[in-house]
Amino acid sequence: MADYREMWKELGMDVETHDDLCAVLPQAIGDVFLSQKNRPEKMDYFDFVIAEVHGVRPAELKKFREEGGKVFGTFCTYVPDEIIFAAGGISTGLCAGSQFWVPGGEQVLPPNVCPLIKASVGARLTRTCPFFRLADIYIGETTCDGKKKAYEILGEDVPMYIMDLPQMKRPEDVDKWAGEIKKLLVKAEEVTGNKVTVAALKENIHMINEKRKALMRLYKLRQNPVVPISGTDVLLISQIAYYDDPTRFTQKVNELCDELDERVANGVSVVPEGNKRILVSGTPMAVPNWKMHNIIETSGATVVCEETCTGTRYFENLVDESGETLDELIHALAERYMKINCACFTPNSGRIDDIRRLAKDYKADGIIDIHLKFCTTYDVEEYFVEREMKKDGTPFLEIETDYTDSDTQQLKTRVEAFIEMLS
Amino acid sequence: MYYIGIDIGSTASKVCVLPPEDGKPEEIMRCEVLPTGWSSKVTSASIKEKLEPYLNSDEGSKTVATGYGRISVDYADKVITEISCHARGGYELAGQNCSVIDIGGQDTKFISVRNGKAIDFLMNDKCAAGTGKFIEVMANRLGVDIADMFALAQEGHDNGSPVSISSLCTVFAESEVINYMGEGKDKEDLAAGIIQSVALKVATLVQRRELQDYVILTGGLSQSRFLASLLSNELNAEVHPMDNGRFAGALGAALLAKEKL
Amino acid sequence: MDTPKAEHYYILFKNHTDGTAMYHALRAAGLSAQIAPTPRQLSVCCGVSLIIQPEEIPAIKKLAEEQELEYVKIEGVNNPFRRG
Repeated sequence: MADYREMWKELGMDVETHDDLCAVLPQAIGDVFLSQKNRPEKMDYFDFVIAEVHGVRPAELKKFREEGGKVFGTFCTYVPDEIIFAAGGISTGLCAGSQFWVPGGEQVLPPNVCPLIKASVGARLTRTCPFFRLADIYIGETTCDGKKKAYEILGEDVPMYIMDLPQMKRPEDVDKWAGEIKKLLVKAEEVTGNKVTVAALKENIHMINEKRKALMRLYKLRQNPVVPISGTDVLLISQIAYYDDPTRFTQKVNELCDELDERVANGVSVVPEGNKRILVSGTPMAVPNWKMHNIIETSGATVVCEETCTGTRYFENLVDESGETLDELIHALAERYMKINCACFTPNSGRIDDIRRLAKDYKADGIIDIHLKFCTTYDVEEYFVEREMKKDGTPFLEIETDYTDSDTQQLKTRVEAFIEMLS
Repeated sequence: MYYIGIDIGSTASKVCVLPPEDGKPEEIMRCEVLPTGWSSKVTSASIKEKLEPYLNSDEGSKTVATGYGRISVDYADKVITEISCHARGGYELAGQNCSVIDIGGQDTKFISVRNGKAIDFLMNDKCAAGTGKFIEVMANRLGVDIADMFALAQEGHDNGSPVSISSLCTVFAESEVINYMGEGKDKEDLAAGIIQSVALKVATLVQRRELQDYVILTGGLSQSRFLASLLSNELNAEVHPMDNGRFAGALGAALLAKEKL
Repeated sequence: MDTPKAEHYYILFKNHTDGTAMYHALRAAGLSAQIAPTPRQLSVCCGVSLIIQPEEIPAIKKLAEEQELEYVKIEGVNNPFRRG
């Protein structure tokens, strides 16, 4: 119950309105996480981080800034954290996942914009999230139209820097992305006042690779017939990955994996035998959006993998660490990041290959493709995902939803029916 | 052993009791429908009262609850979604593998059924267009009940002069109807236009999937030959109306009580 | 202690450092502790507290005294967690 109100005031937050969020989060965390049975002990760290979500990490960032450090807010898995850390800055994710912020976004955005964008803009403009206050500069990117245009609005309230993400994956597009990463490096140097050296970039590429490896290890454990950890818990870890200190996060994930190794060896599962294994694919689930995982895992199934930005898209593929010049390292970064398969690219058949591979590796009984309302790119692409998965004979369910609870009962019916269908 | 299926829908609740041994659909002992009213808990309690003779019989009983109010049936042995129950009940009514189009009070479902099991389904549950709710709202607007609405629609259709309702949203469609009323259009033509728009909306949903060779209608409007023929036209496939189609969910629940419990 | 028995018993702290210290001490002593956000009913400030077992409260108090562990209070709340 540490009193963070002074800090929030100092950050220029609307503490009174923010109180409404503080009022509901503890119960939500109790309902979604603490009500689960037989959780791994080492989830304690992640429970701590989420219990302190607007406290302990913001306090760290605040201290970092007071000592002259610069904080970069990001919105997308394509933005390379390595550059920001190599320039001596800290990168922190800013995507917002609660209906709490949506009305604030709707004051300036049309209603038919996806809730992630509305909530992110709302969190800034209503001054009700410390992370949005702590970032000295926001790094946007040209992924979807909604975000691109929303960044213009955000740019009136906070310094914004936009990376021009290609929308195709030809070799020249990878080169172009390398050029954009180089421009980000120059910008990061300008903001922090530090020069990025080859040694610093190598070191930070290694640091983020270690974080990816820890997440790969965690996901690999979910491929076992024994399910050592719930999908809901892993989703929380993936969300925390975006804003926690990378080195500490890596260490904590590895400690958890040590425990999960033991669980697998001893056949300790969090779900009864015969529970159906679900691969979730689709749009990112930002904190505190736990809606679909909670519905799926309270309907007799378990999520064994997420093909999302808060899942495999975040950590698959390592950056080649062997480069010896800035240009070589930047190109290695571009190559790794351009392997992420987001629906904003055309064509995006790599994503179909990913889903097909993940369904097999994680022994999924069915796929639930979930996209946020008004996300045109993922909504349209669903046509191919569904067709190709059905070709393979993999049961498939499409869900479109937002951050409200208004459709929970209907979604429950559909998910339960889907699980009955798998039985 | 009695096998009981209870389907608490948004508008109507249906009950089906299978006889103790070898229950066949033609021997269904009791099928009943009653309005769900304002509370599915209250409905569930009044159904329990009606079922006392079976629930308390020396024969014993097994109960499956389904429908959107299924969790209110606290005396059920098992809760199964309406998708699986309509699949099982529809299969029983069709007597073969089939596609089920269920037009309910609050949503519309399309289910592909093989051997009594759903192998795929789609639901329109976000919007009243193409559901019983839409027809109810429009019937209120025209000041008629649902049965009259269908009779009028058949007339308007036979006259060949249905109005065209282009809006797929209930609220906007209602404004369109009001405009037509202002223009002095016949009630029959309005009714025909309204039912036609429902058929079109349902067909749009269904066309996302492949149809099985045999297609049936279930839910509260399933006995309507008129609606079935409109749907047949839109889908280029024969859609069979079902006189007992509204009991498909309850029947399926009762059969699943027998087979799964 | 509150009667009737509350759904969850929480131990509250001045800051997260005290909370973490208590958590590790309790776990090391074989006592149960679940890290949880402080429920609204107990404090308007977000932040960490521990859910403990009511029958272990005397042991916790004793341990806190022996090891000089700081905490603000122990209180029960009727806040059942709803699964699903």
